[in-house]
Amino acid sequence: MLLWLPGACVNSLDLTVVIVTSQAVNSDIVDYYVGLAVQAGGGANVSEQNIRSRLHMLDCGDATGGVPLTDKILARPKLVERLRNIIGVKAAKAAISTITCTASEARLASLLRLPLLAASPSAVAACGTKSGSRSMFEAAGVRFPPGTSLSFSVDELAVKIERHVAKVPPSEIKKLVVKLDESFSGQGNAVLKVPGGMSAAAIRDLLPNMKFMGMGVTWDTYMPQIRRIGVRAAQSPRPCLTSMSQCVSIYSH
Amino acid sequence: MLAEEFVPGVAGKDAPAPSGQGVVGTDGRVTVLSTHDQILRGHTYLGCSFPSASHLAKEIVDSTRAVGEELAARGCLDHYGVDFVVGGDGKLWAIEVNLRHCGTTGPFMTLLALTNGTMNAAGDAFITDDGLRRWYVASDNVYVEPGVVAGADTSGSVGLLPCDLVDCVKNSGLGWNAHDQTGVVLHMLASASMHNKFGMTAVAESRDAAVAMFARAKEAVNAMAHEALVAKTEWDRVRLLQDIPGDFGFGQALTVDDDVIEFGVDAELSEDARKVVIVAATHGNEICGVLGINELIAEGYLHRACVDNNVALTVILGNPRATAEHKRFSEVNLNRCFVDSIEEAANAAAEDGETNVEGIDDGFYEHGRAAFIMGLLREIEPEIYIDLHSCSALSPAFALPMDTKASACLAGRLPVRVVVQGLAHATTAKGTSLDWMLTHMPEVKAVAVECGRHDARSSVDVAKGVVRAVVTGASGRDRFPGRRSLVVAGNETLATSMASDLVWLRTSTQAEFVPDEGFAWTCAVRPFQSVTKGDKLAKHGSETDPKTMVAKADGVLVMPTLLPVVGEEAYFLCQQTSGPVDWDGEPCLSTTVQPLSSTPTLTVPDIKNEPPAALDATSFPSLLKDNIDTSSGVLVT
Repeated sequence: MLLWLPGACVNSLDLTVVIVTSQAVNSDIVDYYVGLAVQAGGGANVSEQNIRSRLHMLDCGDATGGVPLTDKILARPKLVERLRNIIGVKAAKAAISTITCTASEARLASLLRLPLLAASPSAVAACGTKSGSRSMFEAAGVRFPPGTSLSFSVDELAVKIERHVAKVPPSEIKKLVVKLDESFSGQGNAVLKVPGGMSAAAIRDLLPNMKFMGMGVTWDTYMPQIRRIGVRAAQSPRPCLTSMSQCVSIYSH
Repeated sequence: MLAEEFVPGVAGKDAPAPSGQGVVGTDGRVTVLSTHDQILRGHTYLGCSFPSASHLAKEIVDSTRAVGEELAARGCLDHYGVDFVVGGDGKLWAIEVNLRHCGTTGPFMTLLALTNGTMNAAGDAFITDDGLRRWYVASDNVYVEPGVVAGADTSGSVGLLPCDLVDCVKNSGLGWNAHDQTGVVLHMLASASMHNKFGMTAVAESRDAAVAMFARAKEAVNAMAHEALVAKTEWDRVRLLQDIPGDFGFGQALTVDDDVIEFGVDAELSEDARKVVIVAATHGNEICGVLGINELIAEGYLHRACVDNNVALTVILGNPRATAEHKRFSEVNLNRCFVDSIEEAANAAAEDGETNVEGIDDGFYEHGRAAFIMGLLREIEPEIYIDLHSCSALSPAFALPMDTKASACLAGRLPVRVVVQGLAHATTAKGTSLDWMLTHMPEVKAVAVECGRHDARSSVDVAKGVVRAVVTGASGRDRFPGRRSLVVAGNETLATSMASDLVWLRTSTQAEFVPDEGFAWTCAVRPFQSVTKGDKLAKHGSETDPKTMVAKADGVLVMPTLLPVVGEEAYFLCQQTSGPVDWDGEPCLSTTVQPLSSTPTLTVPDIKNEPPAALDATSFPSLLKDNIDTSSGVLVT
């Protein structure tokens, strides 16, 4: 998150940057980015002192894994109060920006008396998945590879693949990428080679022998995710801020 | 789950994988920020390159914008990315949308902030506000790769802190330079310490220059990590001494506090039990024997093997204080203290009622230790005595028997490939434990073993092999193919019990010793390297008064020191023989013995995973200088 500091501080000279993390950020890291911000500002109006006075680093002192940062913040009312004090008179010009929102983000925004800029969970579910991506490409008129619609069971997928290769001559082998709807970095991808005109039953038997791209993934670990991720995608999106960055940033002008 | 058609690249190659990034504003306005190419090796993502070099850059920008507008229509905000591939058909195919800051977001926003520039509408150039074109290569998966260190545990990280990475990049002159608008910017600094990886962006005035800068910064970090791993490995070795648990149900471990352990003494051994004494860490920085013995204890081996084989074994940690200090010795070299004067002084002190032998005479710690060990040896009267060492130089294991036939025979049956006769008695100062033993207990079969380099894991394994051979061989069990029973009868001949690949050497001259602090090798020396009479091997003296050290005869270099200590041996010069010889150089085999069909040649170094020490004349002096503790004149390892 600190990578944003040079840009934020230099481009808006009255910007206050509040960074909240689970655990305290090493002071050497803060020094490094403050140094970069000073360089980016060319020295004139953006002294180190100026940047440090506009930068507030807060942390929950909580290394617990698997707990969303927003929940860690909400569990500490005094921290919320501190945040509110920092935002202070600038509240009218501030907002909370997150990718999506759960009840937790909504609660935090209300406690801080700030508007919440975030997509609705259903919008994120509709756009941020593999099937959502394909539907958007279609709507946007962008070329994307032909394929099947979203399936919630192996049998359903086999039937759809049968339809997909029905008109392909048996001498030709179609190379398909099978994808879990919610997955990162190709971890949920597998490569399947299907001869043209193959039956759903035969395709069903091919699936366990797909070439899985994820590290350590086998059919036995892949299978359960088909159901779990299928269900999750259909009912509720994953809460935001649980993954990689574990950071909330509040930029207030 | 769904299936879609795989987009193949040009035959036999992976399809290029560019991506586009944009942002949906709170007003629903879409801005396309950047185009990137992914850098892949096979299926592994190495990083990205900006801007995309694809001839389809404009189409990437347009498609990214179209997707952004669709996202805005559906109520999504903020940063997003679109992954594409360029098929073998030359067409651009959209693969998926990422709704969040992706790997390319951070580096791009950094460039934006540092240069205040923008990407052009065609998506193929980035121009700073000074009108300079810039490229970058970035990755948030830069792995710290410290390289190969002998005996290192590479399972964890080398613990590089954020400030280490920052300093490293800065000190290599690659840090961000606001004037040139080029340089390396780091991110994800906190993950290096625990996870051995971090993020890095190299900004330069061309794509090639960015690639080269990225590689140079990575090299600099890896070189620092290598140093760190060497130091960590050293520490791991020391820690092993303290960490080996003593409660496996087999009693204690050999430590600096528990420096003598006896096995098979309380057990019901028969009266003819073979008495064996093994000393490890006579020099405090040569701890392979201690580690090996402790592993054998922890494995539950040593106690049982001693009882099974009717062996009364005493293991001694030779120099506890130096071991604790991780130095060769604390005050004086212990292996030059086995002399009559010290033994007599200790006896005199004991007669005066001085029970603490360490308090004898001038109070040198090692004098007390030598007296203590000599006393133990006299008390035990062992049949076999083994002294486990290691060397500073890369070296295969070799045995140095006391100069008796029985000792030579024992040496020839240990799991080593080289036996060097006479060397144990060829030190300049005399006073090795074998020197003392030859005078006072010549009937003992005594061998010192150099197990390999100090920091090599293989040295510990050799030490364990020697201990096993001595313990089990005593009852005729042979765990080493090619070596017969270690039982050596007084009148035994070597006959065919000697392994045919064993190389025998004999010292021909007194040792050459390190005369002064100006000592430095003038060539890259390796153990068992052949030299010719007159070869210039080392220089010494001062710059105003330089002197050279030359080989005094044709022969083989044994134990060339990489950590010279003034007054100690620099190297020994030996000749190859066809088998054991006596002190006068006559074969000590009886004439009835079949001569070996051929004399093995000395192509000794057979060291796994360890390249030959790449030292040259220029790097060597600095190596020495850095390692000398000038206050004591002792080399610190």
